[in-house]
Amino acid sequence: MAAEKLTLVEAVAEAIHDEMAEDESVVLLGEDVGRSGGVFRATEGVYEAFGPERVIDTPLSETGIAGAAIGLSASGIKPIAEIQFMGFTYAALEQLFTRAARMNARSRGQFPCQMVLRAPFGGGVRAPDLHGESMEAIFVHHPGFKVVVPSTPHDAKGLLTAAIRDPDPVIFLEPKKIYRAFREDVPEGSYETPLGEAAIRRDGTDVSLFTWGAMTRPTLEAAETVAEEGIDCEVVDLRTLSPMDKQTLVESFKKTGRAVVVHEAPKTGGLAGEITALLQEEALYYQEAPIERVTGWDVVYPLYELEDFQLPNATRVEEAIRDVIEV
Amino acid sequence: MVRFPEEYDDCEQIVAPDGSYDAEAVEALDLDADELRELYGSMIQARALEERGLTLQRQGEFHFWMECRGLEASHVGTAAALGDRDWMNTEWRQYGAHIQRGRPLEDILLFWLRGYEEWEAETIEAMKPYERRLPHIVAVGTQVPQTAGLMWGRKLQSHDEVGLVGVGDGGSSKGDFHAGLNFAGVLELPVVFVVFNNQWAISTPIERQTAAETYADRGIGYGFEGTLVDGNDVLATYRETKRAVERARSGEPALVETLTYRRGAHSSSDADDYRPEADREAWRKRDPIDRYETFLADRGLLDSSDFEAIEAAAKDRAKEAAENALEIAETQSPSEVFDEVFSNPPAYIDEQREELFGLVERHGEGAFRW
Repeated sequence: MAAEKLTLVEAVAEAIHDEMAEDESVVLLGEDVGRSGGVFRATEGVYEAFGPERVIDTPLSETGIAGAAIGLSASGIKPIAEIQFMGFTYAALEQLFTRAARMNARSRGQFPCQMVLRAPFGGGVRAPDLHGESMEAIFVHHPGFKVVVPSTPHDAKGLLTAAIRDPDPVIFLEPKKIYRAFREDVPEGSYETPLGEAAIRRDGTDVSLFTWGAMTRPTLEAAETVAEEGIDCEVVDLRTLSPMDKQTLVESFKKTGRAVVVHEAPKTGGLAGEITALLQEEALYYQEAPIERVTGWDVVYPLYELEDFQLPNATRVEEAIRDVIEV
Repeated sequence: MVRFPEEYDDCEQIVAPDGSYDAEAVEALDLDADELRELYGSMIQARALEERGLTLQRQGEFHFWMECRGLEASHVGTAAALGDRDWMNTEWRQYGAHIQRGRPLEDILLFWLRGYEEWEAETIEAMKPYERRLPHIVAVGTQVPQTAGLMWGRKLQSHDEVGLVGVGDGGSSKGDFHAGLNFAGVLELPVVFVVFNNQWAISTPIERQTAAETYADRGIGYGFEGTLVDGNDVLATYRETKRAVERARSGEPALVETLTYRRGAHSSSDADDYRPEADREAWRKRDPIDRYETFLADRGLLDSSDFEAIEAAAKDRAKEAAENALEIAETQSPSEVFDEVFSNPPAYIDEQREELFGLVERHGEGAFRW
């Protein structure tokens, strides 16, 4: 299969384009997704290819976007809805929690809620308030959703394709900090990266580093740095946060007995706690050291230059790795 | 302050509270004698079902029940205006609307016993009229943009169908109401929005819900027509909704406000001790069924012995349906906790199901039932 060098955001646009070409029941809706191609250009070229019937610039209302997407799905259409920033999904939460998540259950399978809700998430681009949120845990906690976070262009295309084809509501969170951070080979044509499967980004035997999204890069960087000190880290990119690939996480931990969980979301109630509990339940007797959590602080997201201190970086991850090794 | 249709110059009415009627308007209706009788049957059945549900709730058989007394004409008249392939998304006290579209009473009651609904049809195309609906809404008002989306999708698939969505005066205060009507206006969707203005949202009166004189006036804010109708006049409600459905079918959404009054409590959990008895009495004199009986008798369509027979049959039917529903619901098994949470379930669903089964096996179901 031929491949081209794409950024993550270009891979998102390509996945949408390819699925809309393949399946005419797929439509795209959101604020500024059409004529402008999206505020991050994540839907560039889609309007030109498929026109105003299937690519709809909606009124400015997250409630309306989510509510309409739920209705579209019930009608037999497969909507891809964009919320411009994750912080604005808050306005859509009632629609998502009270309806999208329970439509299949309450209709006994009559109306599966096949929809993807895409939102750029996470910090690191010096944007205003509510533009840097990473509240993935709330969607993982609420039953009924699948929650996906790509960290590479290849996965962004494959995971989004799988998300569009999945019959359940999928929350697809795009790490905007790395939208354009790097290019890699992305195969032309459609392919699926299966939901629910983590990826091992670096094999190692001493410490397991669990992370996702934009944090994958500083985590890998830290792994390389400590490798020079003789510490061999395994880096596991979860890719799908719900359902979580428990097997891969537990197997990695059984091998290393030590773990650091890295996420940019706040610490308390965050998924690092859930992952720690999982490892305790499934592999306590393999554990060699307390599990470290490297996360955002429990604060409303600090803005602009203060972001530097909120987002975990390689330095913090390295310190945590050394802490779990020294025990 | 409680409102009455006669206070408005533009509130549509055919049959007045005393049963007198506009004969010319009646002649102009596209309803034959059987259809006129059917509207009566639906309203009587709704009232009988409501009474049965309330009794069963008091006896501890139902967990919860919503009341609809006084709203029967609004519910039946709007539903009657739909074609067989049209959609109707309701708020949860609209028993008469479902009855009018042919939904079995058992099916209505089972929602209250099991919390979910079932469809017989495998596909949308195979759905009977009453099956053309989304499951019940509990989060008030959220059905409004969902119906816009539903009809947008049907339109994209070139189906000539209209969607009717009901919302109360309380639900009309939510942002969802605005989002739904605004989307429909901008996208030219075939949707009829009906505000059942029953003047109370639990204990909150209409003047605490809106400072506007009518909800119908809101239409202009979305670029389409709004109509105010006497919601206790089943014929006027039917006629105005039918006009709205026709407008919607031609691509222009429509808003209808039925001005009515909830005479019963909000629900079986509501003490209903917050409003003047005089208001309730004033609206009792405007009862939708009483005036329609006078109309039917005057037109020679039904007489007093018919009314008695229809009411007795409706009560029997409600009683029988409740017995059937209770029997069906009794078979709920712990497995249902996990059924259909997902269409494509992740492994953890089965893992947790097995965990619960293990517990039930070790301790017996009795250890969990309460």
